[in-house]
Amino acid sequence: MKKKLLIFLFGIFSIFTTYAQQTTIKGSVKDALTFDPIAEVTVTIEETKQTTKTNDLGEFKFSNNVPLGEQVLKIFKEGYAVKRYPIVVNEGQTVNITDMTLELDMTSAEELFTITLSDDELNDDTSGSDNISGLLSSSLDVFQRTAAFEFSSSFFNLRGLDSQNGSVLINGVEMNKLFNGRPQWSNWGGLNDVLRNQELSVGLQASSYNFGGFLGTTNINVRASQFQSGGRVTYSSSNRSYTNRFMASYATGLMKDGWSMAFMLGRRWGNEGFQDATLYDSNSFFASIEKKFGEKHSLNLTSIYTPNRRGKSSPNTQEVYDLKDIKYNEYWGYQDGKKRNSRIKEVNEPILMLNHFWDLSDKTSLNTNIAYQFGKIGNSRLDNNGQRLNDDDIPVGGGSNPSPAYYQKLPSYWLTPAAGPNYEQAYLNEQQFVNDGQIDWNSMYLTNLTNTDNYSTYILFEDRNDDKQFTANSILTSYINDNITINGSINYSKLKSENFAEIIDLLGGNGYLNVDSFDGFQFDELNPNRIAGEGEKFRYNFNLYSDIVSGFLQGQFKYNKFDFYVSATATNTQYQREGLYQNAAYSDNSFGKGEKLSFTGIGAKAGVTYKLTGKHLFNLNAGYLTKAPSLRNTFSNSRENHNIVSDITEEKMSTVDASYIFRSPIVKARLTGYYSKIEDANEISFYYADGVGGDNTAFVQEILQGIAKRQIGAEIGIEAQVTPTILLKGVASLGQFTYDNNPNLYLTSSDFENGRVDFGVSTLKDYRVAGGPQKAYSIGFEYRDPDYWWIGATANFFDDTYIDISPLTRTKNFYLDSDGLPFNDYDEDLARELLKQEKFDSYASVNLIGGKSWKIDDYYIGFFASINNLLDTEYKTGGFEQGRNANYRQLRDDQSNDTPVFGSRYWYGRGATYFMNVYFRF
Amino acid sequence: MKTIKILPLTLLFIAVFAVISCVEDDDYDIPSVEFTEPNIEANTTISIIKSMYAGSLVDFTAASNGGELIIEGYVVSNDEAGNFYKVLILQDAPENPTAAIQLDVDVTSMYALYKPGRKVYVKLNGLGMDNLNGVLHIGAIQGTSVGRISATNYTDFIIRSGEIATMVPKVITPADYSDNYINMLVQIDNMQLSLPEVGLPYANASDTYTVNRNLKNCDDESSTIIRNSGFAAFKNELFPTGSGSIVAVFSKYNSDYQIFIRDTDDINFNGERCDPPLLECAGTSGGTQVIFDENFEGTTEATLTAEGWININVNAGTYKYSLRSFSGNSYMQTTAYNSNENPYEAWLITPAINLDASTSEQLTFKTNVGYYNGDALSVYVSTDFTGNSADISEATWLAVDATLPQGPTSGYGTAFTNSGPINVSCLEGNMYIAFKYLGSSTGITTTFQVDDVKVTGN
Repeated sequence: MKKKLLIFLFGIFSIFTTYAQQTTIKGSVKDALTFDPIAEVTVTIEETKQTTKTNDLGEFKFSNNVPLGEQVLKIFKEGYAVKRYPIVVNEGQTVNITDMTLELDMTSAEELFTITLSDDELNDDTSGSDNISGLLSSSLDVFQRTAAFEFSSSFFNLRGLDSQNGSVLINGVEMNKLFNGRPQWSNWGGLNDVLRNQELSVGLQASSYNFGGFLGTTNINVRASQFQSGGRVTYSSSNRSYTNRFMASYATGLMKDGWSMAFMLGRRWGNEGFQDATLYDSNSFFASIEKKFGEKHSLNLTSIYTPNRRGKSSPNTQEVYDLKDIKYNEYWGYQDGKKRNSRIKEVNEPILMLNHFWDLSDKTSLNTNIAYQFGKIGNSRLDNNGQRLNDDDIPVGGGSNPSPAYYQKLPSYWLTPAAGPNYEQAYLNEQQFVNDGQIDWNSMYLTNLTNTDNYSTYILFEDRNDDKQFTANSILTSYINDNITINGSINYSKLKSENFAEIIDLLGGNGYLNVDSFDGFQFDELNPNRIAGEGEKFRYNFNLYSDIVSGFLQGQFKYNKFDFYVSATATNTQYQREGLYQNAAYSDNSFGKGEKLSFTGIGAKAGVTYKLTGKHLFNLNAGYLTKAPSLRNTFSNSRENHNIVSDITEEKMSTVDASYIFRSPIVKARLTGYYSKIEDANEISFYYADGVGGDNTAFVQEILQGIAKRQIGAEIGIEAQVTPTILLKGVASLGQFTYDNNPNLYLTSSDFENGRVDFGVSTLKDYRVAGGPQKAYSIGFEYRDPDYWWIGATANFFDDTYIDISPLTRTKNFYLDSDGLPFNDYDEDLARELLKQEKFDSYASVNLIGGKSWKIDDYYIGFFASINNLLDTEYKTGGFEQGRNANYRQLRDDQSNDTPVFGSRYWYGRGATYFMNVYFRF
Repeated sequence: MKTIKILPLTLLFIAVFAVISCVEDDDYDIPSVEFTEPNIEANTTISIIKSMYAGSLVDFTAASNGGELIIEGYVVSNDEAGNFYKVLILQDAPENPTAAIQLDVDVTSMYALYKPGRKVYVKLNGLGMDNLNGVLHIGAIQGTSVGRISATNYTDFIIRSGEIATMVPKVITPADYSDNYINMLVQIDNMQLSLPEVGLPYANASDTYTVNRNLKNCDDESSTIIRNSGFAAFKNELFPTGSGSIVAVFSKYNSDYQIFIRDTDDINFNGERCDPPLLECAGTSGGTQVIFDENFEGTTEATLTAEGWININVNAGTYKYSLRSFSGNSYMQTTAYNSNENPYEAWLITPAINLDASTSEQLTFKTNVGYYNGDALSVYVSTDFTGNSADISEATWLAVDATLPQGPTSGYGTAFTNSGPINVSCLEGNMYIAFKYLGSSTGITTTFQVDDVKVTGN
């Protein structure tokens, strides 16, 4: 057995050398078990990156510009383990390497990547953290694999950039949301079997489909004809996000009459993940049907439908975690004996697409797609401000904050000088929180049911975002000759995004008055004092329209010693808001269509690879891109008015990276240094602020404009196949991601006299940008036994994780008293201490994985399990400062308490968790 | 081979299980609101426990001598409109109560569960009672006084009954004001907002400060402080400008009586205003001829009386206007503070000023205020007054539209305010000018100063 494996890995096969005029490499690939030829295997000469695919007989051939000397051939096909074969090429000779074998990769960790990703949905809106791991798949190098698999649970961001910098395409159609630029992973979650055909370009690398973001482009190919015929049934169990997963898929492969079909069903569910009451309820449906017309045309229709609901969990202050534990979630309470979570995220956005593939000639193909996506995203939460009209038509009512972790319900508040200190209350509140500390649904019902006229003081509602997006594009690929490839595309997309709040549950009451309880403003002056019922819209209601036209052109050039590419893109983006409510606070600036905005984005990038030898390669890339700000960062208060961020302009990004790549049959390594800069970015956030705009708490929109950020760092990845069965790997990512200027900050609020207060600059320069660890390290090994079982272990170490700072406290508002002069008790040293950015403790985690597979007749059964964070380490993955204490005195006074009342809120990583998976393949 | 057949069956089973397996979500019953009457009885009364107060904190646990003290009462307060905050006020009967008390509870939005008229029982053991600024409060014992009962355990002390009674406010007049009524629901008829405040909202639109407004009684012209929270839902609304009755919770702050409404529904000012007739002369006024001029410099109260000034407490009390000076400036001043009179009413009347030999007459004078807590001064003219203090009530007094300061609330104004000019050109014969002060040692005690009374013409 062992010998056989050796041959598989390093085997020098029967190489027949014949004399010919051309230097040629040819051969064939077969299934290791069945010895059937395998078609569509990608064969690559590593040094030159020349690539071809095997035909139906499993054969391939390279005859142009074949490099001489010691070479490595890499053969790969989805679902099989990658193989590398060393060969020696002599000028004018033919290397014939037949019957290379590929084994079905039943032990691949690829499963897990998709799990970490779409199932956990790291881009929980409240977290502000989102990473790119979804873009990465198992076929990548050790660094990217480790980043995806080992680092993602720490909210690690590749190169300090979040997922809006990576494009996700399905059949060539971009899936990133126009609202925030990020891919909505859950729109295709639970469909692992049919998302395996991925083509990825990392970083600036040329992609055949689009210009892409600075983190790269993944195109997921879901053409029915590309799936191997057969089926697969999978069951998984976990305690991370869902508790059960069931998936079944079947594909026909290309049938004789030109039809191909692929289907998949999936369900993931659970009442509780790692955090308390984080329910998970997701169904996934997929169907793809393709018909080949003649030799040149093929039409594919795909539908993807993955409705899912997830219970969210709260970020908490350290006080809360200390009183409870890291699983604590303030969003739920018992009702009817069951845990009811008030914050549910529901995503229900079916995708339909029609793809046309047209081979214009042997060398040129045109791929034209139209896609339509519609549906809803809803995020639910409680509202406690329901009112009724009294006899004088004045709205009265409003309830108390139902959050069980509201600051006045925690002991820290009662120990402040402002509250006493009142030790009895501190004790009583501590006991209450420790023993209960959850939402009291019953008391909210009781209030509503006993209210005068049964109006609802408390309701459960949903912030809705119902998008309808149409996309059409054409992608041209032309292999001019063996050296030159031209790619180009034109794209058009049109979005109508309906945004509104909708009542889900009146909690026993019979209506909600559509009036702002804070200042008495009518949310909709055109329908004053309307009572909204369940399933009805209220509070805000507006549409955002977006029209985007873009084009892309690229040339890729491959030669013996050099490969290079140049790409360019241009985009026109138009945005417009249409208010459907006339908000009384902004009577003349909220209803109807607002100003139409137009942005022009351009981009250019180029890269070169120098192949010193097959072993030593050097790579250099540089890119520049300007793009429209996302919808989210364009309208400063879209719920209430047409206002646009002042002096808005296109965001500008530039980046350069350089790599050294080493490849020997045993060791593969890459060392990369990168530098990137983002300029003219905006960030808009919403919160209640104390200490601004008079004596009362104001609900504000914070607009930070003209932000510059800088990302600089190095990536190191090395793996060594020290024996045929043992692989060692080591990875390090060393980054420094900082703010690079002092952007302007202003607040808007209907509570301010002129609606707006300018705070000048926020001195953010050199503060760290939050978003996962800036330094991450991993070492690990994998053992693959010839008897089809394997285990792996990694130890990971994370450092330089920083808190998300509050920009408002870094403005002059921090040190100026209401008279515009500095506080007379302002102590600069203390201020410096107070404004110091919190750096979280570094931490280590150990992950284990193992599996085994069996072949029974023509069926395969596989099993694997993994344990993450084996040592149950408690660690913070992120957090943010509360904007509540906006000035020096408030912050100083709060921090001087033993436990701050408005301390930062944190996310903790999960403790030890498991994942088990069993599948059956036929 | 067998395994192969079993497998699809197993998988089918899993598939069926997966599809039907449901998640606890969106499937909740509305909790029932069936009410069970608590098995509890009052064994003492609000009156009795109030009488236990002897100048310092009452600890009910100690006072119960090992027994249990339970009172019952009907809810008076209502925090729905936000004018009451973290208090629950009870009186001992829905109609014609004899005593009322305030509970301090650290809970907001009690309005649904503790609606006015709701009967509640209060288990007093574990609680205390103290006098805070003139009002008895029941709350959690905090050191030597009381604080709010914790939100975590207030339902252990305050127990709701199923009974909801209709509250009938006790009708009283300003003359009835006394400590007995504190925290009771009262109704005062024939009230209106004081004239200078007409057009103002309940509280300030620009901030969340609590604001005092002054109500005038149409019958006795007395002022009553109505206190409106800056967090009340109605704080930006216009205060009703007519006259009528008001239902309110009677209260006190130190020595001043004040009232709180629960909602704007409590005010029914639908009648016409009852302001005294206002002097309104047309045409131009003012001139170079000085007809009357008194700056109170270098004079005495006796001299003034000799010149024909009348300075009188109409209720025969000891307090009246007095001649004062500050920084070399002399003026007449009075206040209800320390007068021990309710009401305190003083009149300062000029000697007769003959207007027959002049035209275009105009009145000017200056006023200043100290420790403002409400309007107390009003200025009148009369041409049929006899000049005899016994005939004040017989004369026809026309109010003049004078500008009077409404602050500061602490200390004295740094400068006098020009309260005129007032056109009196339509008057003939002997004119008397009266500065009427109406306040109360248990109500409005603002200090008023009057200076530089002058009539000019041509």
